[in-house]
Amino acid sequence: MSDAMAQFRDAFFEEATELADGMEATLLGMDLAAVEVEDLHTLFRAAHSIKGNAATFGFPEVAAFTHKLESTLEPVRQGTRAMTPDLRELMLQGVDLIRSHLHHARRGEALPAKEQQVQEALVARLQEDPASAPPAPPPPPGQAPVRSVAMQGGRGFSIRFEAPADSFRRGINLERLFRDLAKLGTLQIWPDLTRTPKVEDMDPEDCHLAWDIRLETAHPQIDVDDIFEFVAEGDNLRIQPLSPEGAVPSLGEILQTEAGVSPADIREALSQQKRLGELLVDMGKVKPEAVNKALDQQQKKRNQAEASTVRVATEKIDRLVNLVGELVITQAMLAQASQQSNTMLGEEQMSAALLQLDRQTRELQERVMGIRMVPVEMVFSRFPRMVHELGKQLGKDVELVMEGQATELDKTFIEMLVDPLTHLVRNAVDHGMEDKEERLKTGKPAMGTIALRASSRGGHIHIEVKDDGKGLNRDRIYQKALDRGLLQPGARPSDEELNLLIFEPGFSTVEQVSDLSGRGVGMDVVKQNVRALGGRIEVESQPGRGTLIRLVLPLTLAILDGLTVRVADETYVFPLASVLESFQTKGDDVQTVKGDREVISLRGEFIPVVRLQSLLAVGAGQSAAADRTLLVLVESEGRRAAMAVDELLGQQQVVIKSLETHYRRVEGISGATILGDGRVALILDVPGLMRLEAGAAAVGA
Amino acid sequence: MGRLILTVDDSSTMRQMITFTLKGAGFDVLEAGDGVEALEVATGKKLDLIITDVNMPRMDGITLVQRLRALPQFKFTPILVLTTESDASMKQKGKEAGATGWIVKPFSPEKLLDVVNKVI
Repeated sequence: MSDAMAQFRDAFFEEATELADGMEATLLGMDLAAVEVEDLHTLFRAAHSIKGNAATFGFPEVAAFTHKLESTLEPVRQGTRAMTPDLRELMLQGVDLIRSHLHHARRGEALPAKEQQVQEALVARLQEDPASAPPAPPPPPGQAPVRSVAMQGGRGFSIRFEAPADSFRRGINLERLFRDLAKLGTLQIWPDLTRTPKVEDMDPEDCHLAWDIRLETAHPQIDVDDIFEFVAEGDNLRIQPLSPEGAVPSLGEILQTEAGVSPADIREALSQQKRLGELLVDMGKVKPEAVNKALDQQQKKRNQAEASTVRVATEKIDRLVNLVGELVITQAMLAQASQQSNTMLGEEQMSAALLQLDRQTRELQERVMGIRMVPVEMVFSRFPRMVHELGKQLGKDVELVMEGQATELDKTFIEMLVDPLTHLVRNAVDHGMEDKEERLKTGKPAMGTIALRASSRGGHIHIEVKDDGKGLNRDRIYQKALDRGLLQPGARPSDEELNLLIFEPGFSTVEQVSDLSGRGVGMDVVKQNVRALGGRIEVESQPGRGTLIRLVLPLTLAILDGLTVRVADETYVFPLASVLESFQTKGDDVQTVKGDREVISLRGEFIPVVRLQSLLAVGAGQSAAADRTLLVLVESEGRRAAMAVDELLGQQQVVIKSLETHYRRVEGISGATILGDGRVALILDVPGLMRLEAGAAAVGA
Repeated sequence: MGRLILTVDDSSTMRQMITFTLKGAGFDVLEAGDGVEALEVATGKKLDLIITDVNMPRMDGITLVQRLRALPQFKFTPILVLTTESDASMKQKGKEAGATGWIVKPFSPEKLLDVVNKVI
C-alpha cells in the first residue's frame, strides 16, 4: 500500500470510528416513546457514510455489513418500521460489530469466526421484521473469467464496479466503459451475478450487473476515474492500486491472474480458512481455553504497543517542522546581527530577531506540549454505553451525565485512568445505586443519576464520579476494616479516613460479589493508578444521598496560565483560573474580627483576608503599609479569599514542575516553575492555602 | 452513415460552436432552441445522442430529459446535459431525470468530443 493510501485509510478509520460513536450516542440518547426524525436521519447518514467510505477504501466486508444496518434503518427513517427497544439493542450490537470490523480491518485481518457468527445472527434478526431489507441472495456459484489477456509487467488497479440500477434507463452504454478501459491497458474481468435477483422479482429495465476488474496499466487513476465519471455513485465503484512493482504478490493475486480464479471465490475461500488456534484444537494438541488465553495475551501486547504511540495529526507535525525551519532562519539572523552588534543596524536586527525567537519558542513549546494532550472525552466516551448495558443487566434505570469532556489531560494520564474510572462507574451502578423499588420507597426518582465530571482547577485536574445512590455504609466499612485488620479495635477514624478504606486491596463490603464488579480489578487499582500519577482520592458520602469520588490529579506535564506576584522578596504564581480580580484597599476596608482574623467587605460579602507573608512565612516584618493592601481575590471550590500580596508582576504561562518529585509535597503549593531569569517560583495551590489558613485560624482561635 | 446528434440550447452561439465541432468530427447535427422545439424536432427521428442546455425558456433541459425518457423511442438514448455548475446538485438532478452524463461549461471542443465519445 502506498503511503498516500495508508494516510487516507487512517483518516477513514478515524472518521468511521467517530461515526460509529455518533451512532451509539444517538441510539442511547433516543427517547423511544417520541423518536426524533432527525435522529433517525442522523443514524442513517452515519451508516451510509461508513458504508460508502469503507467501500471506497477497499473494505468490502465493512461496507457489506454496514449496508445491512443502513437498509434496516431505511424503513425506520421512512416511518414504516418502528424503532423498538429490541431494534435499538440490535443496532447497538451492530455498532459494536462495525467497530470490531474496523479494528480488524485496520490490522488487515478478517473478522474472527466468533464475531462472524454474531454478525450472521444479528443480520438474521434484523431481517426478521418483514418491513426490513429483503434477505441477501444465495452465495455465488463460481465464475470463470470472460476474458483473459496475457499478463504484462507493471502496476494497475483492482476495480470493483456495480452498475447503477438505472444505468439502462439513463442510456448508459456499459460496453463502452470496458472498451475505454481496455484502451488503458490489459484487462481481466469477472462478472458477479450474485446481485441479480430471481427472474420473477426482476425489473428487466433495472441493471444488476457487477464486475471485478483487474486492469494493468501505467495510466494514473484519474484516467480510470474519468471513464467511470457518469456511473460512479460513491459506493458502487472501488478502485484500488495493485501492489507496487517489485512487491511480492499474494497467492490469491497470482491465482487470479494466472489461473483465472475470481476475486469473489478467493474472498470466500479466505473466509473459510481456519486459524492456527482452531487447527491445533482440532488436532487435539491444545485446549480451546489455552488458545483463548494466548489470544488474550496477544491482544494485550498489541494494545500496549498501540498505547505507547501518540497519534498526531499531520498538520500538527507540519506546523512543527515549519517552526523549526523558522527557528533556523532566526538563528541565522542572530548570528549575523551579533557580528555587527556594535552598529545601530546590528542592534535593530538583534532585537527584531530576539522578538521573533521569543514568539517562535513560545509557539514551539505550546505545540510540543499540545501533542501529548488529549481531551478526557477519550475515556469518557466509553461510559454511556457501559452504564446503559450495566443498567440493563442489573434492572436499574440509570442516567449518565457528563461534564467537561473537553478538559485536556496528558495522554499517559488518560491511559492510566481507564481502569480506575471503569471500576468507579461500574461500582456506582452496581453497588452505589439502589434497586428501582428501593429508590421509590425512599422517595427518590426511579431513574438514578451518575455524574462524570472533569475540570481543571488550581493546577489540578479533578475527575469526579458521583452517584445519587444509597451512600457508603459507615458501620459496614468499619466492621469490615476490623475483620481485615485494617483498623485496630477501638480506633476512631474520621469519616474521610474510613471512606478511603474502600480503596484498600481486598476490601469489599458486598457479601455476594456480583459478577459485574467482582471481575479482575478491585478498588485498589484505583488507588494504585491515581497514586502512580501523583494524585489523590477524595470521598464524600452522605447516607441515602449518594457518594462522590474525586480523583485529584496533578498537572505534571501541563502549562499553566499564571499571575505572578511578589510576596516579600519571593515570586509566586497564582493559577489564573482561580483568580477573580485584584484591587488595592483604601483606609479601613480591611476589618479585624475575632481578635486577629481579617476580613474585607466586598459588595456586601465578607471575605477573609489572607496575609501570604505570614502564611508562607516569608519576609516577616517587612509588612506593607497597613492602610494600603494589594489583594488578589481568589475562588476555589465555591469559597473565596482575598490574598494580600506586595506586588503584581504580570501574567504569563508557566511550565509546571512537580515539587513532589523533586522535593516533597508542601501544603499550599502545587508545584514550581522556572522564570525567565532562571529563578524558581512556587505555584500556589489556592484550596490548599485556604485549608492552611483555616488550620491556622483554628489554632489561633 | 453518419450518426445523428440533436443539440438543444437557447444561445445560438453555443449551438453553432457545438454543431461546428460535431460536424468537424463527422457527425450529423440537428438544432433546437428550447425544450419544446427539441421535442418537435426529435419526434420521428432516430437520434444517437441528444445534448441539451439546462436553463432555457419554455421548457428547461431537465424537464426535456424527463419528457424524452417518457417516450419509448428515447428511453435508452444517451442524453448529455450542459451545466454551468460543477457542483453535484445539477449533476444529481440530471441523473435523476435520466441523463446519461454531463458536460461542464465552459468546455473546449476537445472536451466536448471526449465526452461524446464516452457515451456513444
